[in-house]
Amino acid sequence: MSAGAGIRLLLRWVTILPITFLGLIAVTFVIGRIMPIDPVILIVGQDASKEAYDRVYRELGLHLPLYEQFLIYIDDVLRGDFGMSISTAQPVIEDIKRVVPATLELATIGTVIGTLLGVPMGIVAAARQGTWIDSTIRVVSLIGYSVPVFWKGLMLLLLFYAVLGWTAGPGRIAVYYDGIVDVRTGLLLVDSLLAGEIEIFWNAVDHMILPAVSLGYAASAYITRMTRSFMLDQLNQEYITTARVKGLAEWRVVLFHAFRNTLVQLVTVIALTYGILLEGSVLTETVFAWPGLGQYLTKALFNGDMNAVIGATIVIGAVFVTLNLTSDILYRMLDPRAQ
Amino acid sequence: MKAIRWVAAGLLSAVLTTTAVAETPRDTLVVAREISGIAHWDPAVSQILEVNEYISDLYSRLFDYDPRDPTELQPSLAESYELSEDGKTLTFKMRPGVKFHSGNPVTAYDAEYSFRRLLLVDREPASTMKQLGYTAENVTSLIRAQDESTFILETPEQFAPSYVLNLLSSSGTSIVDSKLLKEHEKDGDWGVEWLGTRSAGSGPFMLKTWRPNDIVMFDRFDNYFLYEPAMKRVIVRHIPEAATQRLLLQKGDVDVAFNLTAQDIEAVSQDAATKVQLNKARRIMYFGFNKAVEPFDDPRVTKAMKYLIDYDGLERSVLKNLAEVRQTPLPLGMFGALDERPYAYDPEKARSLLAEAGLEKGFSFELLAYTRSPEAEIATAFQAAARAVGVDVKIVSMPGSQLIPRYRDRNLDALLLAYSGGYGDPNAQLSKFAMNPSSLQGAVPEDDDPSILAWRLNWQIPELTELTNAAVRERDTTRRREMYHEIQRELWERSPFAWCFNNTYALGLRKNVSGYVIGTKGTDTSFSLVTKD
Repeated sequence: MSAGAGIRLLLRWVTILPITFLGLIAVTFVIGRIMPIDPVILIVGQDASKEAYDRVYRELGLHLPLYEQFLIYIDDVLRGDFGMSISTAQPVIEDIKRVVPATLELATIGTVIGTLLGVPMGIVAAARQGTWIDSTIRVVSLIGYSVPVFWKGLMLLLLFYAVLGWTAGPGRIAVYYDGIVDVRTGLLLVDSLLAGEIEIFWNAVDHMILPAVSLGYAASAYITRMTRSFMLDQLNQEYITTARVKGLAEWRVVLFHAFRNTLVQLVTVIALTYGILLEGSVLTETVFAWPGLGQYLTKALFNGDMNAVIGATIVIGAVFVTLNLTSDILYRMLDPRAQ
Repeated sequence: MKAIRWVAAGLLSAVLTTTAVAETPRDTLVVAREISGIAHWDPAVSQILEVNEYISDLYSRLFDYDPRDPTELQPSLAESYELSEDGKTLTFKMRPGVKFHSGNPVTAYDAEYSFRRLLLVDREPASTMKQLGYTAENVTSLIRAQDESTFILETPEQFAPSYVLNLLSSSGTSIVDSKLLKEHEKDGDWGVEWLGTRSAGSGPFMLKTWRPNDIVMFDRFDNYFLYEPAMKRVIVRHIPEAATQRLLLQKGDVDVAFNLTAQDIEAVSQDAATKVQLNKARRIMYFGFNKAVEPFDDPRVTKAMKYLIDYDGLERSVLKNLAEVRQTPLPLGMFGALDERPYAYDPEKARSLLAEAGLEKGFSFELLAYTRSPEAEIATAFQAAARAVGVDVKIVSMPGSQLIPRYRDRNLDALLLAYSGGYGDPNAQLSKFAMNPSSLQGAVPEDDDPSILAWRLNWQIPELTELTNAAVRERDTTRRREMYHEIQRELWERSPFAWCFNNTYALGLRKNVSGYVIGTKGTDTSFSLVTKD
């Protein structure tokens, strides 16, 4: 990437970012206010008197016009105050610091597993198109794609935790290890290593295996299908025929010629997958009792806990913007034409 | 999704019997429970059932249900009390030598602070005391500490003493550590923000850790004034999915599972390592019909609806061991509660009542119900029964955060919901179901009270309101009981409410765990006596 292109890219993002976030907050805010959900009830209880209801209604500023509520909120956010969550009685920022690392850990490992499984399977399937290998891989990925996460998670637990006893059960860590390691990054795998608690690290790894495999398998299904079709696209091109005619070994043709040219598209696919996993997978988190962003956001939505919803949405927005930016940069680095 | 759960449950039973078992530490109780509802730990704020249950172990009250004998209310932080001649002033002697978790002594000044705080914070838990006529204005003069050991509670009017004492055992009236809270008050908030994530009581356990949607840890309070719990620590893990709870229980990674389904319960009862404990819950489910919506203004129509609920059939097929038929708002065993079942599933009777009301051709209405089980199944069964007599029911499913506002706005035809009283006196329920001050002569706009369920359904009941008001003031116990019987009969005959099921807590436990006490009155639930052999 040349220096000029780099600056242009930077400028583009500097202008896009604030607009994106303002739009994101505005849309979430308006949707939150027109939803037929009453946050006051959550605070005062369903049997509250009229006075108690009215008082909290005013405390939340709901009597103000919508634009005024919005301006107050934006003002608070600019000062770093995302408000209190009414479903946890804690500042939203604290909640996010707690739930995002749990999801980040799971989604990252899930994506790594998904990529390590999906890309090779996609390549092989494309290289052996129409054979029994291709069919097998397609069925495997179809299952990963179409079997509900809920069922898959439960079956994994049943087999590997309950019957075979190879892995730990639901949750992030065994209860007797809970709260021993100081929270630094919020990532248990990292915090336990920083604290030098190897046993706790392995316990966390143990708990991570099933949910990460469950997510990774689902992700790999998509990645496999996409890799396969990108590869088929390339393998039918004339330059591949040329390479083969030149007498190159087939594996060289597949890996160095065809696969290299799918990288740009693949990066986008993997980044997107990662982004989706980072939103938090409600079902996986529910089955595996994983205290992540998905459960948090779902509960906040049902409760009309708008501070929490907007806070979580901003995080998710930031994740997507970052991933887009990263894949934008990678794209420019990988694609000679973009340079 | 449903079918998947069934198959999963079947597979679970097939393979789980033969597996190796982990074990939790002997002095630690590990509970699996769905606790995403927990939002605030302050007894003056929280109206969540789960929290109120735990608050009975975190705090003590002037009067309490001792879990060693949870049937009777007993003096707790109060050692004794005296009732004045006119029946309006209660003078309590505080028990000496009791300490808060912080080490501060529990005095009458803490009681004074706790009651004033409750009424001035004025959230839902304050509603119980407000029924006695307390307001933010009069509380300072009527509720006061005379000295360290004497606490005076004057009621604005005269009430049945048993009623007042029952109110004093509700979780909202938990006595908080005033010294500690005053240190953490912020902008005159009575320490509400600080206490939202902590405990400041004198109960057998203290709140050590709470991470929403994740875990709650309670540590034993070693200076508890009544007894020493066997458990040093109680851990509640948030496990949202019933099937996962069951896996953990059968595997031995938890000692108690709280939210099992009917199938899970059957399997757990057959497993050699686990057992089932069934307790009635406070929660009683009911159908409600809006009297302001035709044709529910006709009592014959609401009565017909009561014959369209397949009480026994639903208990057998859907609810199994998770609920029992109950047709009055009062839990069985409560003072004044009737144990009769005037209604049975009888479409013919419903049909003839509707014919009497001129509705041979039927009619249609919308029924609001929770999306979840068993509400969804009960609503569907009702819909089918109604269709058979020509009534077209449209079920509208929604979560509580949407349903409750519509109920409070009286913007509905009918609904299926549940009510859980907050203390061990029939007035807890009947002041909601059998009272509507806005229908009295000379009612003012302030009497429009959305906390009252009869008001929400536009039920005009001047006589019944007066009877309910009189019953709570009646000092003659026999007469008071008769009045409650009379009220319940009246409710059966004319009310727009059709109570149907008393929910059951079906706990799955490891075989070695016993002593988890679950009551129906509010603070009579406790884990402090749990032992593990």
